[in-house]
Amino acid sequence: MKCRYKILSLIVISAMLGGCAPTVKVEAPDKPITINLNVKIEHEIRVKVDRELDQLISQEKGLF
Amino acid sequence: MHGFEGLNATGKVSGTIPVRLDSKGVSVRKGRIRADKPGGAINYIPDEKGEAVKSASIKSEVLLNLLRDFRYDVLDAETEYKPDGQLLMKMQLKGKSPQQYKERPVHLNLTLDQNILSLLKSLRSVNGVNERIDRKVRQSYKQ
Repeated sequence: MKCRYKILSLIVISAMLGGCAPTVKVEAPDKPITINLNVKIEHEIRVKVDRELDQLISQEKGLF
Repeated sequence: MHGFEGLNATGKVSGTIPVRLDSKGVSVRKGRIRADKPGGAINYIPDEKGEAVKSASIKSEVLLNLLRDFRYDVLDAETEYKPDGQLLMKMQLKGKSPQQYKERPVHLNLTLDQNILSLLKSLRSVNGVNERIDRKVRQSYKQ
């Protein structure tokens, strides 16, 4: 069978959505600089499928 | 935690993390880690991948400049883990950033809140997608 599908590419992006809100306090020179940083991480996955692969999937019904 | 590129840290830590296993699952209450004297150093120089952190906020730039060369003498971290996967970490760092503020002390309070189980689930499903496609493509070519 002739290979028609030269490129099969799949990009999986795992996106990290972090809510970063640092507060910076600057006071008199000898006093300490205080930085408060609260990070809340939520995980999200986005699967991006190439057009060519998308065609393959719709042609070959048994793929998924 | 995420294997940040460009992050280097030195120093010795010691502490206790009491892990409890009961009918609800695994949990950690009042885990505590402290740095041994004389402390250590943190050097975080983000590469291109770290750009996301940089662009997150202008104020983050102050923090990133500071972390390029941060010498700490106090590191005190508290951690809590609940059976549903929620991990909370509170870290207190005291030290100096000679490049930025010379002798002026710098206090850095950091809290991290994330769900470990959802992270593992995400990572597993990424592998799952790859494997499933690979297997199916192999099968369809064999026929």
